[in-house]
Amino acid sequence: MIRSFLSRTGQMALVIFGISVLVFCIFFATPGADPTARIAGRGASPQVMARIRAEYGFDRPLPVQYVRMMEKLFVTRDLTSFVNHGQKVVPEVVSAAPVTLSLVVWAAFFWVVGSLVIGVASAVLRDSWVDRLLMVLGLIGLSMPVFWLGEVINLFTQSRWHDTWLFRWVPPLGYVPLSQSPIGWAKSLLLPSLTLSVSFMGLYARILRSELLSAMGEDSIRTARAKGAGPARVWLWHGLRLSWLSYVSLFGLDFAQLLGGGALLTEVVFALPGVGRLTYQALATLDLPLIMATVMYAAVFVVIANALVDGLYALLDPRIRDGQHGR
Amino acid sequence: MDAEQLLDIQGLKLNLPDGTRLLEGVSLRLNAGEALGVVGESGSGKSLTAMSVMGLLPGLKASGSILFSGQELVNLPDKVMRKLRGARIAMIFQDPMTAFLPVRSIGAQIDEQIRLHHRVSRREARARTVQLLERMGVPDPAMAAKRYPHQLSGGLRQRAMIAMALSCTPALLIADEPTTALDVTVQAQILTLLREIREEGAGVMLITHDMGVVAQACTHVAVMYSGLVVENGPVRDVLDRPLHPYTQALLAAIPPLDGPRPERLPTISGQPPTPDNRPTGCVFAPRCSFVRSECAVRPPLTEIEEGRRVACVLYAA
Amino acid sequence: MSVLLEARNLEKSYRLGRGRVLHAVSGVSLQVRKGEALALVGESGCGKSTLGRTLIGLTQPTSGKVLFDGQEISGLSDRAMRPWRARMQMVFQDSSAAFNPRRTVGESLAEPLRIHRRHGVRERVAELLDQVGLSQSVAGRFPHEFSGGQRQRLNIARALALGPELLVADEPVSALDVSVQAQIVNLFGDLRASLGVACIFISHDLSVVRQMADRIAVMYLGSIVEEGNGLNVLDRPAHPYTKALLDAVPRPDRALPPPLQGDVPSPVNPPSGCRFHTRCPIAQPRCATERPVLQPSGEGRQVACHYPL
Repeated sequence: MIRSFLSRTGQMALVIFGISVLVFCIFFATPGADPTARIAGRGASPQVMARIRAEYGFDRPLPVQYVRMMEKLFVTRDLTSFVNHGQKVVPEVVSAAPVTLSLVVWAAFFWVVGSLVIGVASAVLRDSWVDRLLMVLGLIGLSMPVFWLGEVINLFTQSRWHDTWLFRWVPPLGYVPLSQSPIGWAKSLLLPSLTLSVSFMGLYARILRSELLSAMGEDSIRTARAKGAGPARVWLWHGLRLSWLSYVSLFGLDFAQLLGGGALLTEVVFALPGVGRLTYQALATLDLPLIMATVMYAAVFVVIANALVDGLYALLDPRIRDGQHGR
Repeated sequence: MDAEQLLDIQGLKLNLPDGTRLLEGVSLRLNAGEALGVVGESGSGKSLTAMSVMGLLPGLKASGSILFSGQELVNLPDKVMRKLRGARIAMIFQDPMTAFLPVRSIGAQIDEQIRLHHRVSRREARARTVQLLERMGVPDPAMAAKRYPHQLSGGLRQRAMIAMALSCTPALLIADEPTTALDVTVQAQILTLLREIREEGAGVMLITHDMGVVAQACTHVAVMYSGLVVENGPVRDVLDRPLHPYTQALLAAIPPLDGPRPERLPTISGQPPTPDNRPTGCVFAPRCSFVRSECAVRPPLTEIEEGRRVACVLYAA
Repeated sequence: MSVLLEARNLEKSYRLGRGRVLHAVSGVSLQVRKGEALALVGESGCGKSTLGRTLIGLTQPTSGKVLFDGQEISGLSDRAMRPWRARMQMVFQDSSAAFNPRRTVGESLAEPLRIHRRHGVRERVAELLDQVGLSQSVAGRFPHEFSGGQRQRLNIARALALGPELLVADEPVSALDVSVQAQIVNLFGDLRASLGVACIFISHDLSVVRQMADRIAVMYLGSIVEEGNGLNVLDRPAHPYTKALLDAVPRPDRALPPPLQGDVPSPVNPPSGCRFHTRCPIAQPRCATERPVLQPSGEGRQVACHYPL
């Protein structure tokens, strides 16, 4: 038990190290990304350039620079931005995280409920017009770009129909912290999270439908019927139990990926100051410390989520717990 | 017969939605306290017959009659059927590994069936489960109930499956190839168990391809071929003196375990017909060595002596 | 008759992690003479399939030797093994998996001939189909057009393509219906008579084995417990396990004696002493501590039991 935990932690550390090295190398290999010129501003004299180079340590070998940056990021936590002088990046990420967390939790709620209802309904009514309609809707949701959908929603709720009874409640773009006003918080996140959840709802409903239908062909489902279980029990109790493994693992990874900044487009479109938008800004200004901070933050989430999903798997399926698959 | 008639299937036909006929009119009878072996090769329709009795073939169109304790089961609404299933008619399956839900403990799955049909508390249900497992010869039944299917051996899994089927003391137990996935020594244990269950008064319908299994666990036998029962009677009579040419050939094709070893085994030439190209006459005629011109008309299953029925022109009066 | 295949003290174990080792085959020695049919019988997990695969070099033994025609073939690399492959072939149980579904059976049958650069491929394919009782016209058809019994015939034809001296057939008839099974059993008999090919049949079905094999080796938990002339072993078993296996076969003509209790123990930690002692009806204290070795007991038979019947 302890050994597997340690090896797991070691793997996670290795993955995070690899990602950080990759980001670092890509940054310094990118032409035109020389931070000295950016920090010094346009037309700076060679003397100024040299001074900045020495001050920021850009004249040192790359491995040394890497170690120093990691030390500042993880140990002293005083890594400063290259673009906004003196701005510390770690507090920025920390203050952006609750925004993203709120958005993603709302979205996850919508897409889980939505996909369960749609997935089960279309599986039960398979090949009927309801099933076909739901699957087409799911496909539309899946293929609609989230930034386009967001902009369209903004167009109608913020300007065109904002004064109608339907959308009068919609607050202006931006984020209201939960501590300030719980109602305002919910209102500010409702439309962004719905927008974000649409594509996931479509994807998850389709996956759940096909998993459920294949589970229905299993011998154990036939046994459940033979026991005298009614259709509701057969589908929801036995069927879902067999088919939610892949659903759960997919959910864990998607959820973590979004928490790590994957909701970038939604946050930008709805002007939510979350981690995604921070990443977007950092990329736009090629600000290595901020990029590094946001990417590390995302990597930590994804790696932890991966470990959690594996743990959950073992919890859901006793066969995996015992280290044997199938027979 | 003075025994209570438990199951009476008359001219059961089963069609695919596209019209392909899977069962051609199966007729069977089973009394309480008897065990009927339904034997046949793959595709003969023996499993389909069993599933029809359970009402577990919603996609297929059934016609004919299945009387269970006097109640007509063909086209019975699923709501009514559900009350019989698991309670009055129970079924065990070939592979207990896949027939159990892999992600729940054996005990939880047996409790579920008890609670589906009886208003009892979780604790009462579990007490009954443990009792059942013990009766089925599962060592340390309270512990076994907490185990997951993959943690038990094949033999114990099948015992648990039988315990689950018997949990609501059904009048009819249908066993679909219950020992095919098991080793012979374990199969012998399960067959002994099935015989005890029958002796306690339940009717057992045993689906199998193995004549030896029928001989050990059944009182009566029905031989199926290509969607029809071709011969039916008490097990000793049929095995000692098979009447239908197919039954004769089937018995002869089993390699003997004692006595002189034959140079070659007698075989039946050719293959059984697929459902979409069955002959209009006797279904066995194309492979039969006694075929004659009357075989172009399908012979009905007729009683030729007390309790023995056969569908063959050789025995037409 | 001279010895074709010999196994000397063969062991095969698999590491399962966490220090657990599965002993699939332990200390098996046997011989197959030219043209002879040997059957390996036992319940699931007794190691008969692993032994079969090890004997023809599909699996490398952990220790011990396999000799084919007097030369050692165990431990050879895939490349060095290639010339031997043509001389021994395997027939599998699942006849539907052995053929590529997108190619005609004629193409599939021709493939091994082309790989080994044989001449007259067309004629040879026709001859093979004839040998297994199929018409030559089926060469252009695809595997799904055949029934289970016909596919098993094709499977045998594929194994015969290179003219092997030894066939290893793993449960060759157990997936087939009784009437078709009899046809395939007869086919093996015919092929042995006409081609003189030696066979190793791996099966759990004693009545099939009695019909097909000259000699029988009964296995329990990785070891041979009894070996000898097929009819002798099955008509007068000397090992209590062989007797129990025979008794457990349900037969039309006699009632089932009280069956053996319990299941086969796990090969990961097999019982001490005689591996059968936990289920043996006549076990003595000695059986739990001292492991019996395979010893001759007359009629060319060998038994591993302290108290043979």
